Amino acid sequence: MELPILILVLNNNEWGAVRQSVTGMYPDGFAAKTNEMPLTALKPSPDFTKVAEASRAWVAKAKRAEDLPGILRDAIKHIDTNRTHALVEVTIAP
Amino acid sequence: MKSDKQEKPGQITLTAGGAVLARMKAIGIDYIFANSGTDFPPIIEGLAEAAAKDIDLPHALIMPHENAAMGMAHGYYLATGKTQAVMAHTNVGLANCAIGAINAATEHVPVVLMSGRTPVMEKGRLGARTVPIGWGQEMRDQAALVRESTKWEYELKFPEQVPDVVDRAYAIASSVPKGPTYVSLPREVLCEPCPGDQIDGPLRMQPVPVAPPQASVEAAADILANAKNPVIIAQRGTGTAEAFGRFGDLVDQWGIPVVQYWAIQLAIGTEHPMFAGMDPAPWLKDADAVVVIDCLAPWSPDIHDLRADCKVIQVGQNPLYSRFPGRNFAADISLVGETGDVIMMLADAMDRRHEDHKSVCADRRNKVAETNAETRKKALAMADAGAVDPMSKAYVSRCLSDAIAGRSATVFSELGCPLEPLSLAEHSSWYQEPHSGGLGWSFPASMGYQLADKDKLVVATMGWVLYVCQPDSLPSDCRSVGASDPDPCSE
Repeated sequence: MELPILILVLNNNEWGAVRQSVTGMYPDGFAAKTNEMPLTALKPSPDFTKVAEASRAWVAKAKRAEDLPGILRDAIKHIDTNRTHALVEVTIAP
Repeated sequence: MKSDKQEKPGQITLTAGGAVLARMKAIGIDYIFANSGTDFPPIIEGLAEAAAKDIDLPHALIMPHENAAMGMAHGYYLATGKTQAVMAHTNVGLANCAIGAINAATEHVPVVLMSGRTPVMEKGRLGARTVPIGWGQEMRDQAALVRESTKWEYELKFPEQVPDVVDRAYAIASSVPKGPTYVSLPREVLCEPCPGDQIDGPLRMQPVPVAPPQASVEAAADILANAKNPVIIAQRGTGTAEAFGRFGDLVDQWGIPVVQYWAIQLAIGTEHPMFAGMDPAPWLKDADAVVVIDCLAPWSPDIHDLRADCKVIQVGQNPLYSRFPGRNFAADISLVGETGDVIMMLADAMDRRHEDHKSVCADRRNKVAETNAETRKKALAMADAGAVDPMSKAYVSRCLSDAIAGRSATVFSELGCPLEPLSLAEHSSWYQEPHSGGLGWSFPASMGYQLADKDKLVVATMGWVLYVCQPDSLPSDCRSVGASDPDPCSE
């Protein structure tokens, strides 16, 4: 079964949606001022390229902005050529 | 190729389990996304029996986790508009389907959801309990696990009910407002023989289409045509490719800004001059007419105020969203129906009125286009400014946009790449997680979509936790139960 999805995992080591909901309701509160907001941090994150490799995906990590376009091109080329899924882990800002 | 000895379902008797599957195929279900269990022997036996007798069956895909099964059925529907089936194991399997059912119900995605019911007999009948989970999985009200998310539920009581029950589950799921239905299948009943003479033949209960009264459409068109500051807020696309094209022309002709606030699907291309970004605030404060196209929550009442004289037109399969207890947005006129159909009707009505408003529209169009161009410029500049280390999500969208430019692609996003910086111009090119917020949706949904459309490039972008929560989706794209499909994982 060919399901050659391009998967982009955006890794910021935290639960951004939860952080935003806290700062939205309590913009000047204690949580907004913490160095580490309770119940939002998700560190350390696993290496999901290894999780994907377990299912024989093509994997790559994009840590720097300038590398991302080239990595995406390569990932899509893999998908077009080999017809299996590709996973790119992208390091993003919190 | 069928052999000369192919037995028609009408000439034979199947187990009720096999009959369920054969009837599904006969009425047009292509796939069953299944996570099997000990309630499945009559199903599996039925599958094998039907295969041996060359009876057509849906493709049955093994899903390691029910969440992935529900997600794939959801994504397959988004690509095709066709209702599929999910089969799970008693109450525990059904429990794992609950989030997917909540999501499908919210998105008006039809799914025929089935799970076994543990045997009640402790002995003396084929299918009776054999192992301790037969005792451990009995519930008084199993369907309650998904009741609020299903339109209709039923428990199979006699084997000869199978064709009626399958037809009804499918027809009701597929009727507007669409959504999941649930059937529970007790094991003893599945083991009993079901006569095959009702398995063939078309669906006996056809799904019900719904349309607004023409008078309502005319009244809505009057309001929209005469408005000085109309706004459209669209959250869930335009339903069909035809309506997508027509809608783009309509808003351009009339100079109506379209805000895609928390958009789950694409209603208008992001480069279209009438695409007004994601924030309704600047438009709502002066609006005298707002058309809400399939939005559960079209704006935030806590921060967005409307003019006292503003008229609101709600469009959707269930425009008052009656499944939800509290949803109190104004609805001066409600137009009920599938989005695509309602848009076409409204566009026709607006066409008949355009002559009288031509020059007003032209002026307004230019002003709106100018404002929108500024909005877009700012959004893209902000995205480009994210090209630092570590980069922003908006910048990732920009890069993705470039990478998929010029080819047929669909992007699924679940707390992943945002919509605005993407350059997307086609119907069915964008899907974001449902507002029920049952996460773990994007990866299986993207696979279900790809299953239906092998040629398209399908992208799934997600916050990283969601990827880790969806490892159940991973092995699925290497497996198939279909005898004719080669297993790509075997060498």
